[in-house]
Amino acid sequence: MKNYLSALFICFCLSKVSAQKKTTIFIEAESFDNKGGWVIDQQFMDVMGSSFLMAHGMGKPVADASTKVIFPEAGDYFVYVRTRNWSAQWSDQEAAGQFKLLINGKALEKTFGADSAEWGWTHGGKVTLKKGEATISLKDLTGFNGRCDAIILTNDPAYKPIEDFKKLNDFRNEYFGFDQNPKDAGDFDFVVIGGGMAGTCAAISAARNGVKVALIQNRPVLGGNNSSEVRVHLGGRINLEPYPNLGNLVNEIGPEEGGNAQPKSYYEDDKKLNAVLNEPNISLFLNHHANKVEVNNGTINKVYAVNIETGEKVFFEAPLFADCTGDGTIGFLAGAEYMTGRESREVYNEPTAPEVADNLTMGASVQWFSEKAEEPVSFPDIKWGLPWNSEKAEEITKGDWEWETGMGLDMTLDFEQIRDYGMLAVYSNWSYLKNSEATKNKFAHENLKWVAYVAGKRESRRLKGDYVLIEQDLTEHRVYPDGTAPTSWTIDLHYPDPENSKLFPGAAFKSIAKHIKIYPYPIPFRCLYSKNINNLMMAGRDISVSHVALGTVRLMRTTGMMGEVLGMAASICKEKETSPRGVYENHFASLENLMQKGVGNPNLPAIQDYNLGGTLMEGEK
Amino acid sequence: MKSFLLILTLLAGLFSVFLEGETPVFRVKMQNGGYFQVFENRDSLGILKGYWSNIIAPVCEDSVCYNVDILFKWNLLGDFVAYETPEKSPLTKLDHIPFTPADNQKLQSILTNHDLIFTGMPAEKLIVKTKKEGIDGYSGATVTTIKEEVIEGALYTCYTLWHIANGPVVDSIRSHTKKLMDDQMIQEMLKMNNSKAHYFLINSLSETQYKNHLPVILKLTLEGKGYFPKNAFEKIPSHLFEQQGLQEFLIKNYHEYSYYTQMAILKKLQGVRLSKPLLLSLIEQLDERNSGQNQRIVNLVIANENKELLKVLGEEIRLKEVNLNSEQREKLEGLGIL
Repeated sequence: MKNYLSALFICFCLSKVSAQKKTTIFIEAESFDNKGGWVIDQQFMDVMGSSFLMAHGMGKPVADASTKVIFPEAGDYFVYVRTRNWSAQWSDQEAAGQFKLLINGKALEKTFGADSAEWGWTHGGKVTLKKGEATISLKDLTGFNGRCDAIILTNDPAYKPIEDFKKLNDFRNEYFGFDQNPKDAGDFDFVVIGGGMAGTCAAISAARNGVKVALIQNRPVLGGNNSSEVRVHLGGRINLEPYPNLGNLVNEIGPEEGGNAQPKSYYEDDKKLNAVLNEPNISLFLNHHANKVEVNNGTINKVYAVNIETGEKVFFEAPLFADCTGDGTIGFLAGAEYMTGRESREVYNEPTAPEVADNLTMGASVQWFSEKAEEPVSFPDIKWGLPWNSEKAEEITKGDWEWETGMGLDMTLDFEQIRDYGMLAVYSNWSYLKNSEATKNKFAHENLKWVAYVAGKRESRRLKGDYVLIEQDLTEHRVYPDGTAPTSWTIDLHYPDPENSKLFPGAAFKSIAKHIKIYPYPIPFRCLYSKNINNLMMAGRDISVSHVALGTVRLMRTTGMMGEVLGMAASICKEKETSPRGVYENHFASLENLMQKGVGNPNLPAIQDYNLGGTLMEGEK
Repeated sequence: MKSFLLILTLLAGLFSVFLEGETPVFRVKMQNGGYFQVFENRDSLGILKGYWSNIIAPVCEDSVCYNVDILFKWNLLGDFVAYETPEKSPLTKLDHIPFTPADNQKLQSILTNHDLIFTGMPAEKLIVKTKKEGIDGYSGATVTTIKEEVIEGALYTCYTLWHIANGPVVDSIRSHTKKLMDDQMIQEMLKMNNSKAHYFLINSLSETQYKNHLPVILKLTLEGKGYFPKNAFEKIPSHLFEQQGLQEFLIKNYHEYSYYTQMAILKKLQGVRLSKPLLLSLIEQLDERNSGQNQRIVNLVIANENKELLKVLGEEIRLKEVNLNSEQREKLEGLGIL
């Protein structure tokens, strides 16, 4: 792939040179040959246009990233870097994420990541280059999440980089030729978008039931919130009435150890990956972000995905799709009806719903932990952090799920701000603990070991199905004949922590949870497919539930079981040549049989005894 | 680790007070070798009401140790009910400070709570060790996430006592109660009026007891929440479904149950000779959507080989436009019904 890109660079440059004697070279940072200590962040690419490289060093500058570029002409080149000063939205002090650009080992005078608060091109001055190969490097200066999307080097003095991200995307596509030649990913019966627990289980379940599946995941690992990138443990119960064999697959691929914000090995990324790789019916597309959909008369024909590292485009054609993206991205792009925020009480008469609808969602968690070191460890006394004092200080060494923020903001459009604010709070607190007279001795040996840069979302879009599950269904145990995966966690809704809100008005970064116990409740199949997109099912937090009902179904053992059901339904869709609604209306008995049978290995011991949650089983009446 | 080892060592020395004149019904062994004796609690009429044990267990809080002297009480199901301590030997916290009434209230709620995080943690993870300045050793601070759950200064008292109250003794009590299950015990269970007792009942009754107490079991299914009715029907011995009384009960109440209870009932009716009125009432339950229930009802009618009923079945299917799958349709067409 890298060679392919290099070839494109050269072809374009040569043609440009021969036509205009001007050369403009566009380099995607995420395509660098050597990423060094920089990480690829794709979480906001639908908003700011691209994945990018980020120096997530948690206060320690990361190793340089570098790549080789061929310059067809010697001469003076103007340098532009697409970046931002992410901390500027909260502080006018020196920027958090600063870095240098090095060409052939020599740093440009300009420091990047220190100017505009918004994504944009920073002029880096002029360099004189020889014809031939040069090495471009990114040198992190701070270890605090400096970010670089792309670099332009041009010998055209009149050249103006494009700021509008949509036009810039057109430019990228034209430059690399991606739009002209998207690759056909292959022939599939079922395309699953999203490789969290829901999507992974959906893919495996379908594959084991004879369905040819493509599984698309926009990160390099599977597991989503349960991956080592986010580190939330599985929750809820499996193997419950009325389908005790649902959950066998969750038991098979889920981690043995529980705990949030624990060391990487707890989350057993490889176990999930190997489970998928062992299925001959699954084609796995890691590092692919689905961002375009072709729809005809309410039916999805194609889903396009972009490789978050190379930018290459791929399309997937299939009769059936599953939106396991969490954000309901595929449904949204396809024009599916969806819900966001909190419904007012009058919509469903839910006792827990607010009188007036609002945009309050549950937040996203940026978890973290420190480890004790033999020797004292320093941490920068940051000036760009939130104002901090002893009253605000959290004298702890681990930030669990309750380090949750973004409630009231848009979990798709504002997500970079949400994630960054979560990190800002962690860094601000830690800088205080490590440097203030009151606490520095106590925390002298503590080393900030891990801070999530992939934030763990709880809620965004909920796609509307033929039925919307509501609070009373759960609390009054109104079960329906099309019940599927049983949800067992409490109705667990999160709100901004009142104490934290007092200290940080309008910008709490901690949350509290309120619980309502329920009996295990089989989620109706009608909540698992779109009302108006004929061939779209969903599993995960984007299913058809009210905000209140989301409080229980969002737990990952439950979403994994939803995935198991989707895979079974996909096999019926294939066999009977029908739609998800057709399964509900005409073939539900077949799905009942498959749910009774289960899809995972039934002979494995039930070892996941962590985070089962309080549920009304036998003891209460 | 040091505190953990200390706890294990001390638990090994855990024992019950020997009481003259009382005979223990069983001893409960702890994993670490210690044990305590459990006694029956009967009322003046000799009816078993629960169990108790007087336990003396050494507990240490941050290297300060003392013997807990405590009387535990459980109900017939092995649920911890309450504790008592001698007036002269109250529970104490760190530095031998006696429990306040609020501490006792909190301990009572801890011992009856099964949703606590700290009870599921290994003992060595309950505290974070912090090096004491200038002192050769570590002091322990309770892990933040469980601080609210426990009594300050009595972490290991809470932990140790919870595991005694809710440990292997529970299964031992349940086994003992089950062995003694008779009509009197069944009445006691029914009086408890909670679904845990009722679940215990349906999991413990013999076939004869089911037969003798069927009306009351059926009544429980009408009142039970969650999946109790489904589980109860699954437990009722199959041959009892031949009974006219049970079939009449189903005619009257089948429609009251959830879909999943109905499915469990239909499964039980497979292979059972069913009355004509029951089959007719089941045919009425057919709905237009293809479902497992429709399949089972159709199969039951076919299996009972009654031409008149098959005709009614065909009419109902046509009238309600019941959506059958291809296998069902072929079967019924083969029988000349459709």
